[in-house]
Amino acid sequence: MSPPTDDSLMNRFDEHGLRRFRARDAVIAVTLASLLLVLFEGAAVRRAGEQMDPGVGRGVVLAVGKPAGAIADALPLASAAHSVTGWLSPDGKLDARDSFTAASAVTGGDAGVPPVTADAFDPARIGAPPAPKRRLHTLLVTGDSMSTPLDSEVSRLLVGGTVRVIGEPHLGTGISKSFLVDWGQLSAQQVKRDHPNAVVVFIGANEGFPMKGPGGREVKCCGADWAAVYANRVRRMVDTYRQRGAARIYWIGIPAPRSAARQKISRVVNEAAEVATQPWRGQVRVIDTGAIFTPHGYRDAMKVGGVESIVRQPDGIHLNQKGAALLAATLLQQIRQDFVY
Amino acid sequence: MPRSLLLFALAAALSLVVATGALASAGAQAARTCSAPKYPGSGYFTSLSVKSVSCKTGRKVTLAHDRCRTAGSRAGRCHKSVLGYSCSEHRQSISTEIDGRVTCKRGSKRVTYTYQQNI
Repeated sequence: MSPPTDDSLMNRFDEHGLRRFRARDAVIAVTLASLLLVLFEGAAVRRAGEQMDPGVGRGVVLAVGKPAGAIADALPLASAAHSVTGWLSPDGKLDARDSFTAASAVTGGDAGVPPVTADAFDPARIGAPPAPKRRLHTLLVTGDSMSTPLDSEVSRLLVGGTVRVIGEPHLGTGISKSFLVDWGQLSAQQVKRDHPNAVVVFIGANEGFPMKGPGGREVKCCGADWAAVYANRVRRMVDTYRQRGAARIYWIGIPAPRSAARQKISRVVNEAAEVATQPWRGQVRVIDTGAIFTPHGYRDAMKVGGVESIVRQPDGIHLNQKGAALLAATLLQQIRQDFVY
Repeated sequence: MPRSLLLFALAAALSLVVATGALASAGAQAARTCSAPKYPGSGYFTSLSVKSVSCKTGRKVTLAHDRCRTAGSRAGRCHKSVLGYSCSEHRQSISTEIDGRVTCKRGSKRVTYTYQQNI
């Protein structure tokens, strides 16, 4: 054997008679492995190609993967291989008690998950036929100081009709405090006294007070714990006002106030109202005043009917007459979707 | 008319006069609700009640106490007597507002008001 002309050291095996395979053997082994891969897992090559980003690489893999996948699909070998090797990576056993068809798994039992009912869906949002419009008899406009002069503007727009409009602002009050009035009690009294079939609630200017949370501990504004306590109070009020579905509620969010400290509170108050009303979105409309008055943060003035107009009071909290008139018109558009009057 | 019957009638009449007077006096001293004045700033006087004094005086005391309270700072307190009334206050406050209940007394006269003030 002549010595190699390069620096190859392969001859060290030959010197000791240790070479067993030839290059041809390697080519045969790779070809055989490729053939087995195509027969048993051709679909995996195709799937890998389909998951790649578009490009040359994807094209090359798919060029091989598509015919390989077609061959594998036509043969029962992949399924047989899965059955034979399944014990290597078994699936976790499923418990029949966790099935959707076992009612307790979703709506009660140990899980304690409250059920979602049809009341949670606004027909308009799911493309279902709207509920038939009802006649509006009594409209209650209530809340804290935010609800005035909205109440008088709504009355003005409905004057001369058959709708009885009750304006009931409770100045300086709040849901997070009971210093002046407890809104849980007040809402129950309003319903008992007036039986309104539409209720407009505009409240949230005086919030941010600590409240008693679970276990009686005091919860300070404005984290998720406080938001949850606040939302639970809102939910109770809404449930009272809706009168088992006999009434519609128009819960008006707070437009961003000027002060940064108040913005922090109003943001949580608005989000809590959104969360609180979820179970009855077919009966409660949450009106986003931020989209109307403060889409990019606080502003005193905006275009109303093409004319730049001041819409806020000097305190940077309340709407002025012009702003309230604009909101009243928007509100009545919403009310007209549910009622005739 | 026997003398004992006359004495009984006299005593009964006297009792009636005393009872009527006591009731009238009690009526005069019962607290009554008044309309609150407009708040001289950002906020509201949310209630006003008076006892043994007119609503007009109640409103004067309320405004005078508020002036005294906010003279030093918007979140201040009043430690002086106001129009001869001695006042005490219970309040709840957070960074954005104060809710207060103020009771002012001068002998049997009493003025009680609540307010909500934005800070």
